[in-house]
Amino acid sequence: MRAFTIVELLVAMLIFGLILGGIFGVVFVADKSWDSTLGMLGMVQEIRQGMDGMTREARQSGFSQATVSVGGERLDFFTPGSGSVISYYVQNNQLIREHPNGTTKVLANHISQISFISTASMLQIQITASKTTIGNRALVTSSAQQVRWRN
Amino acid sequence: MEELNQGMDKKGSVLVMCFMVITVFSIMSAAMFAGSVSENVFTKRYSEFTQAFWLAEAGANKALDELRVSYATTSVADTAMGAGGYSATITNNPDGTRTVTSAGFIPYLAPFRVQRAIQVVMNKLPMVPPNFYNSALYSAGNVVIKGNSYDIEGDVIYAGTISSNTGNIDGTITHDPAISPLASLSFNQLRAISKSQGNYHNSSQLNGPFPNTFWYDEAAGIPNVVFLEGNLDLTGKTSVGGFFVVGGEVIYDAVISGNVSVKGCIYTRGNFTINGGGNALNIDGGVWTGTGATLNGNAKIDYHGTYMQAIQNLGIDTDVQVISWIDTQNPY
Repeated sequence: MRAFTIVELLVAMLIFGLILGGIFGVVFVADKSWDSTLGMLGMVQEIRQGMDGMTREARQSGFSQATVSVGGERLDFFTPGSGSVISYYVQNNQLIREHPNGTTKVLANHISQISFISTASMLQIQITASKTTIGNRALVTSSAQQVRWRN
Repeated sequence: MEELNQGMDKKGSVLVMCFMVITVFSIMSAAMFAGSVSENVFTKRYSEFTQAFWLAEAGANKALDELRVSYATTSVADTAMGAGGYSATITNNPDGTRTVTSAGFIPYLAPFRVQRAIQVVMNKLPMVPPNFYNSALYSAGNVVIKGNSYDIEGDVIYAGTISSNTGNIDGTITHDPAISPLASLSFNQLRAISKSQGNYHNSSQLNGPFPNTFWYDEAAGIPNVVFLEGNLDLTGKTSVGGFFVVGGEVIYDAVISGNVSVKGCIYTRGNFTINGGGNALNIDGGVWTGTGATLNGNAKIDYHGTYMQAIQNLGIDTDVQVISWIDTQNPY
């Protein structure tokens, strides 16, 4: 048996390098996609959690018992038996429920924007969530829902 | 190093390593499988939770329906629907109202996986409010007026808010939150009258034809009641007349666009909108709206006392309506 020549070794290393580069490329893309999907799923869960609680509670109010701020980013309303006003707004990228006055609860994180539109029969809510992945990739998703005032 | 090499040389070390790798992969697979199963269960519960809510709503609607037939009703039969069912109870309150507690559950028979309950207070007014027939515009919601080319001859009463540009209202403007919700007229009675007059319009006949004047039987003093099982849209019409009742099982709206002239009155539990596009007197009678009125452009409404009196003389009963709705399982 004879030894490998330097050319053979170089060619082998080149082929091996190309294969390795390809594998790393695929792994890199897959990792990025995994990270994005996981991040997006997390945000969707956050939105769903916040939206579900909000719609269930706001449904118990009525057009004349609810006030939306001028910019549409804050909702104040009463429900039967609530006693005092219930508020929803976004602060420091967190969806906040405030009731009674001064007592806050964080309903969801990564919430960048919320918008309320109150019409005579319906309340429209739009929530936007955003975050940055480890690879510095910006993720944004939003969800909208309409709730019929019941009172 | 020497010892390690000697250790690795021993027969069977590859098998041990293989077992270790298989164990690690098995643990990872089991964790992923458990996560997937738990997500699946969570999604199913969430879906059933939503279904149970709508079943509870069905129970409350059934109770409302029964109370409309007889306000003395005290029970609603338990009913199976789809994957679950509902159970609703009716309690008579000292103030004359009724509290309906409706629970939706899945499955229909115990043990339940999911249960949701709502509590609805219903009332049947002995009569409509005293000022019910006195206004050109009677809104149990807001009154939104866009522009200054509108004209209202008559009183305006509203429960919510009104635009600031009220200068063209030639009448009294009254804010009265107590008129909300809008007094519910008996749709059964109005439907029956309209059918007897040939003025009934089901959901596939919403474009008319409609009568072109208010009176049907002036001698008997009975106005023509035009009952619609859906939205009223008079866009493109020129002249119609009657007491237009926008009825149906859900809340429908009324819209008038352009040069339309209505001799009579409109009653809707939904929104009322005029998109004024001509010079016609859009409403010569009056309007009742449950959720609000919007007047765009040169909208014109006049109060017509004779027409109102004729409608009042019909002596239509009030209907049972919901005055309070509570989800008993507060999310917080």
